Amino acid sequence: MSFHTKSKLCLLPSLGGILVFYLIPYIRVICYSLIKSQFKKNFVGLKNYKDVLSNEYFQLALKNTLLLILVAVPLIVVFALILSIILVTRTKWLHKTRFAFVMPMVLPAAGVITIWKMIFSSFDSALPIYTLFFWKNTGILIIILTAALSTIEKEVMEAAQLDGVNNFQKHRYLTIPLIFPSILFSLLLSIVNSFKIFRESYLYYGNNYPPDHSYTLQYYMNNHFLKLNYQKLSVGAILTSFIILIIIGLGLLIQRRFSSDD
Amino acid sequence: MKKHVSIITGLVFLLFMLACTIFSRTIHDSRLVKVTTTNVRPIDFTISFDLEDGTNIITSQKKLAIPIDIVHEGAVYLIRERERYNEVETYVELVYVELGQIEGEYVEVKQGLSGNDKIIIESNGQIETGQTVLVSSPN
Amino acid sequence: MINKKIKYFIITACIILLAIIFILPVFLTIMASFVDEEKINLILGSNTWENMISPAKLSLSSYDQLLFDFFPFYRLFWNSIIYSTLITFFALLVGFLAGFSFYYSKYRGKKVIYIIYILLMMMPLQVTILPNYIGLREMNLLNTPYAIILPLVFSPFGVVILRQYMSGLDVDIIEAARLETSSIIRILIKVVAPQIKVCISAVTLFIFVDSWSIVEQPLLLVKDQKLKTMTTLFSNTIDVGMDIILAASVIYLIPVLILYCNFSQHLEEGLALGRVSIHD
Repeated sequence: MSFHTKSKLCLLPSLGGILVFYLIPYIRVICYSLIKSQFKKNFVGLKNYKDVLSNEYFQLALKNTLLLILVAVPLIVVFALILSIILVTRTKWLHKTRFAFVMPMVLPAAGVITIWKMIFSSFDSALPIYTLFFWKNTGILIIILTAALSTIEKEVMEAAQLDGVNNFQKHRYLTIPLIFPSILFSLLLSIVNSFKIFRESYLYYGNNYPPDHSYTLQYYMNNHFLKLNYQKLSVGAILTSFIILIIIGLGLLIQRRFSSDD
Repeated sequence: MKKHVSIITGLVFLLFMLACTIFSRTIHDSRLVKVTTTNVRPIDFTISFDLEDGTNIITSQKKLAIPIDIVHEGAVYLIRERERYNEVETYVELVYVELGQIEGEYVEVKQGLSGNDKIIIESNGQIETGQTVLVSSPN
Repeated sequence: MINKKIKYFIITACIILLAIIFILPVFLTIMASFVDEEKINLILGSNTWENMISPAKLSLSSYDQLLFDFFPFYRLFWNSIIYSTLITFFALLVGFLAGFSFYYSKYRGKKVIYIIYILLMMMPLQVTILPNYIGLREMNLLNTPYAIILPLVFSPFGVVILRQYMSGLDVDIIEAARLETSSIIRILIKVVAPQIKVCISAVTLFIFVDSWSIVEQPLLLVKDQKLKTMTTLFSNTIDVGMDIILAASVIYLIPVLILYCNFSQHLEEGLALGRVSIHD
């Protein structure tokens, strides 16, 4: 067996697993979303989709999820950007604080949920979830952005300084365009993370239904999962995949346009 | 150096948890008050009663009875079982009893106990209602 | 001149304050676990600030309750440890092989498959857990340890990240090694792995932490209490006392803290390297 064949075979375990546990069942999911119920397998086309989309709970979930994406994601990227710029341009020892910012990223939220509940129990809004999102995801963004910032040539910055540009302008017109790909990536990553924050939200609100302001798409699907309501669940999964695909597609488009601008 | 520190700390932690896993039950049990129990059982009681015409009949009847010396101020301690963390544990309950006839070391229990109850006859420490105990030699 | 210094000072102070705030939850959890029972009941009763700040006696009563009274904990703890170790080991293995295959081999459709992997990686758990459930059900593996282990072992994350790191490999060395031996295993171990050692540690850490903190899978894919992990403890706070939960939280955090404190350097390097090469 030639080396090339052997190296092709290396993919087999992973591909096999992916097929069995991810891809082939995914096709099943698409099928489930198009039939009436598990017992009467008639093809009903997009009827399930219409039902779900017009369901008020789904709409509430969608609204909350999108709100999280549209509000929290830009905020966290801006926050991380400011922090990264400060950290990169200051003295060496301030670097060490990165340790503190990145720690929440690796810490399992389950361990600190109790304290979070104690602190935020009196707030009746989605604030605890937003703060959890910030706490957990700022770290990775700081790593990405500081890595990108440190690749900017020092001379370029100093040249701009000599030209009399003040700090804010310098950053706005110079730094940001230079690290735009990383910023885009950070946005994308934060959007993906905003879906993952569900785990913390679930731990925070326990097994009960969360209050209205925190009811996101994942809760919708989770509840149907518990009731084994395959149809609604499949529709929810497919719709969420769609949303993510659209977001990724948009991201890629923006990246294409940006790199063709050079 | 740093890698070694983390490996050592990790191993120490795992060994500690392993030790806890192995010894936790023995430590837990050693803290419990140990009690010995006995069943409530029917004992033959001699009963004498007078008939209308003056004759006296002596007969025996089985009644539920418990040893006299474990009754304090009209109450005895029982053990009951309850489920906690998916396991069965025994605990103490104080029950008031109505007593009747005495026969040797035993006294009749008119009310308060049933034939299935196990009463505590000895304990190696203070006990009170609700406390978890370990039954060391069940009768 | 002075203005600049003051600005500098204020900014530095703010950053330090933020850093403290970020570490605070961990710190508080650790502190709260060493507090005596009375204090905890006090806080439970009313969440006021005075109650929280008032000094409390140090005591190990929470740990006492957890370790010597709450026996189900040990099952959960060792389950977590075993799952995480197995998942990390096998996911690395599978990911390493697949990553190399993506890097080295050329065949039709490779790019398509790779893109599918990336798309899968971006899907949130709620989307992937349903296919996982169905796949496990077909193979009759629901309610077994494999239900938790297998989907995570085959997660596309490890594959994609390792493949990214491999783009920094030196092909010539591999070609040179191929002249000496045709055993692919030997080449992988002796040639490829050493070149991306730092990245392998970063990925190991990531996968371990990820599998250590799973919540949905133990809750939804296994019904048997004996197979569940520590995370299930934290999602049903009603059943168990708060002191036990706090002590369990600390024990739950310890392995991760140990790993992080010692490998944070590796982690940051690894992640930074990975990001740069993604843009090609």
